[in-house]
Amino acid sequence: MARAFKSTPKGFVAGLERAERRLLRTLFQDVIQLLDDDRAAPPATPATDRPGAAGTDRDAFWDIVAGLGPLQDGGPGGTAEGAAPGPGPLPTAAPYRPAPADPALARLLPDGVVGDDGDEGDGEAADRAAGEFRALTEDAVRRSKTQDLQRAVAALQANPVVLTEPEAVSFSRALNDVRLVLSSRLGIETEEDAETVHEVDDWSSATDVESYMALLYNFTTWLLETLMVALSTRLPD
Amino acid sequence: MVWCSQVPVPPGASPDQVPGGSTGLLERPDPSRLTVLDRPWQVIVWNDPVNLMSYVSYVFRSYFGFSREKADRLMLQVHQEGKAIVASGQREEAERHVQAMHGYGLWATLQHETGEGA
Repeated sequence: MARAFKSTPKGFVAGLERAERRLLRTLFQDVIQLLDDDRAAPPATPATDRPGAAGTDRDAFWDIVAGLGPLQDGGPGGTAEGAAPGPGPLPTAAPYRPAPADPALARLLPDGVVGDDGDEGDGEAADRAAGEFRALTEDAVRRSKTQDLQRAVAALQANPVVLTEPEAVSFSRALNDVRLVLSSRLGIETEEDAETVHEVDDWSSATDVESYMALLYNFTTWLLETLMVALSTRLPD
Repeated sequence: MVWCSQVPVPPGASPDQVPGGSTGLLERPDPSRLTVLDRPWQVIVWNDPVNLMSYVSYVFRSYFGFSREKADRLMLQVHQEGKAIVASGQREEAERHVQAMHGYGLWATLQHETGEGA
């Protein structure tokens, strides 16, 4: 069983078994893949060179983990208005980039400008401003996320996992990005949705994709929570 | 127009990942009518059911340098009211903060203060 992150003189330390580390590495690599697939590729393309993707007696499980693809076509979450492929944006002088069509990717790379009330579809001006902001910033955000995720993969080579404070902060962002992707695939849009997912806690009775994803979400949530408690002890009040 | 003086560069970001200071994003207000200082740019963080309260509070404390009390108050405002203004100031700084929040997985947006009561 995993042991929570703790702040120690050696750094931030967690006990994670081989299977748990492998699971986390796979999740991190899936999000790296998602960020790398870009707008041209379908969101559910599984990586083919993922370590441990074959030779397990739980292939179905790893198929589920792999790719973190949508549960179904037109899956939960929906795509923000204005994000769907279609007629291009109106010609503008400034560079413009539309939001990703895949809701999980859009969750990782949200709009930086919205109309009133947070409605992404509210108003042409807000949409154009969001596209211009995205053109300026999205590549850098993708790069920094990918770096966090790569560091997180590298940090999971041995047990116990020992992180410096900057590594721990980077690891927390990577874990959170995994949770964002899982939450999108699970269709978590409200506090009630989150509660429903939180109640899934029995690995032995999980037989469907959604249950597995819920368990993965809850595991990463728990691990992140313990890391944030440990990290917050290092900050001044 | 006071930014926290101890705003650090976010741990994952290198200077080349930050949009250039002179890069235009939105139309600047007509300088003959008002200045940027008159109408600051605000960084809004929006609520979502996924980000942990401990995580959001940590990001506010470590990135913006807020006290625990201020970070928790803003985090709860996001949680209970749906959003909170976490910073305001010049546009380039606000853009950088929004980008950094996206790096942390928080949904932040930039808005030009609309004037009285905004």
